[in-house]
Amino acid sequence: MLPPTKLGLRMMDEKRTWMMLILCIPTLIHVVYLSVVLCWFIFANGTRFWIESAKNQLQLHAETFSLRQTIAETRADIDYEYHLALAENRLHDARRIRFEGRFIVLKAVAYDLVVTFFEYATDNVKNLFRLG
Amino acid sequence: MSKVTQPWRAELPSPLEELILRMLVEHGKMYGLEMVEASDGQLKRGTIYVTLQRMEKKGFVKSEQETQLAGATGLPRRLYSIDAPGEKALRMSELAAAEFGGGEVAV
Repeated sequence: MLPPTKLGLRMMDEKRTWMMLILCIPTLIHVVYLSVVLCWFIFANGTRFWIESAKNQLQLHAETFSLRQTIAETRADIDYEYHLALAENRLHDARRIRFEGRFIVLKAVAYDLVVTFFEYATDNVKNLFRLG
Repeated sequence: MSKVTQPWRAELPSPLEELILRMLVEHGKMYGLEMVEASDGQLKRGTIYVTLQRMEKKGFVKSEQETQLAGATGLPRRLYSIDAPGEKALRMSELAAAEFGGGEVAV
C-alpha cells in the first residue's frame, strides 16, 4: 500500500472537518432547542404560578372585604359631598365633586390593589426566608 | 442568634397614622374626605381609605356605618373614631417623641 500524499492527507482533514460540522450542527440544534424548551418550561410555569397565585389573592381580596369596602366608602363620601354642595346651592362645586369623584374611586382602587399586592409579596418573601 | 424583640416598635403608629389619630381625638367621629380636608394636604384622597382600613385591622380605629334618617339622599358614610389601642399608640408615640426629641408630653 502506498503512503498517503500531502494532498490526500489534506483532503482527509477537510473531510473530517466537514464530517465534524455535519455531525455537530444537529447536536447544537438539539442542545439549543432543549435549552429553550427547558427555559420556557421553567419560566412559563413559574410565571404562571405567580400570576395564578396573585390572581387568587386579588380575587380573594376583592371577594372578601377590602376592595368592596374601599369602593363603597369612597362613593359614599363623594355622594355625601355632592349632595351637600347641591343642598347649599354650590352648583360649581357639585359638578367638580362629581367629575373628580370618578378619579378618586379609581385612585383608591389602584392604591388598594398595589398595597395588597405588595403586602402579599412581602408575606411571600418572609415565608421564603422562613422556609430557607 | 438571639432574636431582638421590640414590642414598643410594633405598637407605634406611622406619621400618617399618628396624624389621623390626632384628628380623631380632636374632632371625634370623622369620614375619609373630611379627614383629607382637615389635614391641609397631608392626606391624599386616593390613599386615605386604605390607610383607615389597615388602621382598623390593627385596632387603632373603629368604624360604623352612618344611620340615615328617613328620606335622606345618598349612600351611608362610614364614620371612624379612635379606639383604645389607638389612644394607647398615640400616647406611646408622644412619649417616644418626648424621649428622643426632648419635647414635653401633655398630661
